[in-house]
Amino acid sequence: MDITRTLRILHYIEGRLSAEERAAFEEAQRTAPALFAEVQLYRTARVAVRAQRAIERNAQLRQRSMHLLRYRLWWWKLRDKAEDLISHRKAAPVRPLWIRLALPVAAALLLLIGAWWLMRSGGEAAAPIVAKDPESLYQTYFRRVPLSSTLGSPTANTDYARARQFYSEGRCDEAMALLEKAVADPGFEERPMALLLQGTCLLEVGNTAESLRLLKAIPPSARIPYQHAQWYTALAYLRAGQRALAEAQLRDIAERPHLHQAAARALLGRE
Amino acid sequence: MDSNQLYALIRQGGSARERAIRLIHQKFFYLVRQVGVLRLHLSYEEAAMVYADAVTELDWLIQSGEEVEDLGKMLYALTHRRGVDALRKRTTKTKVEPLSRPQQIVELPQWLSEALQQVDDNKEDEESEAISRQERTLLCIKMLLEAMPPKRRALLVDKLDGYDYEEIVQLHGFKNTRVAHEMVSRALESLRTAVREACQKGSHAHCRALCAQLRRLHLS
Repeated sequence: MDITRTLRILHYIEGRLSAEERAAFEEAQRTAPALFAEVQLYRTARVAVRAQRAIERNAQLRQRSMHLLRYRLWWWKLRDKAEDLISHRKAAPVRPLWIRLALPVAAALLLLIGAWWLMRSGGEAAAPIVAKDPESLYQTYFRRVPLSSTLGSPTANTDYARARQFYSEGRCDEAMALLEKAVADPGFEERPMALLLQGTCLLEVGNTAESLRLLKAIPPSARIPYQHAQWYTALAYLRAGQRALAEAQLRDIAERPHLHQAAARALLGRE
Repeated sequence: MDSNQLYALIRQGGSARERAIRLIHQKFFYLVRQVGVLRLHLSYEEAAMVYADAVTELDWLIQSGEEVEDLGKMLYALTHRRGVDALRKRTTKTKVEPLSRPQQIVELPQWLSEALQQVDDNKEDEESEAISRQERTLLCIKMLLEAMPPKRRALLVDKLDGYDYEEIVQLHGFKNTRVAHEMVSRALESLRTAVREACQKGSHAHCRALCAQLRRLHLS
């Protein structure tokens, strides 16, 4: 595998080469058809990926549009009504402006009062996160990562496989030693999951600072480990007595589809 | 954040671009009512969909190197154009023949088909034939990517979508950019091998156009 050649092609199609490098590379393509073909392949792949991402992004934006619309629709419809009223009565005898606007303003006021009342009565005064001792909440909610239901392909790294086995059996010391070895390997592909296991082991033994450091190192692209890490971060804050940080983290989890959404909502008293 | 800053963030790619798209979507959301509903008399739901299409198209144009002086004006024009398309679609029944467009084919939005036309080098084809070929080629690449190991695929997709190596290191948990370079290179190599194998086996109907093109160019 020629890394320099492959990366050069990538830089070329991304437009990152200087004018001279670009000219030289195009000359090389003219003399080597295989190189030209490879460039075409990667270019096609790039367009395909970008097109696919555009379609996915469009679906997300459509969802977000509907979400935003839900919050603005009542206001826009109210404005529609108000503007209709104003425009339709232009031909009729002129009435004072306050009469023309009285209905929409009254409706808006009623809605505001209703929303304020709802916010007050539906508050989270009795939420466990506020009412209970953080340590006892941690004890109630902490469970080790359920490895039997975790997505992930079987791995050839036997140390890692043994570490998972030890972890499942609650033998964190032995699991940690093997996980450190696995993570030290730059080509190790299960790094996010390994970091999660290390982080939860440290949390269990009470080393919250180190646990938080490892949990925060898990990248969002590793979706399942990342969502678990968000949850255990909240628990680590609870264990460290940092109630406000735990609450902020739990709100983040509770507001979107998430592996731990139900538990986060329960802690926030939103059930 | 002003128009120029948002434009620069999109050009930068990666997570900066994602953030800029979110900001733009929120900042100009009033166009749903102003253009979609008041000007074109679409329903609020239709207008919201049209607006989402316009934001996606704006992102695509900027990523493709289009110079945009004022994002707001551009988005206004795109929302209007896509709104008119939606009105036309409402009045003229769709002309898609189900037999010529198998269900598995990715349904490309109209603007994306138009954009892909510009990157297609096979200009002598009929328009519908060209679109169908593009869709098949995209589907072929998508299938081959999906057959790759998930982590390698995620890495390759992020790189080809414009994330730089520093962000790749953060996102995928690599030790440094050197490792990221090596992993990206390996992933590209895997894709090339997958294309070669697919072309040799000839098992994927959607890959025929791509294989024929590459065969002409002596790759497979």
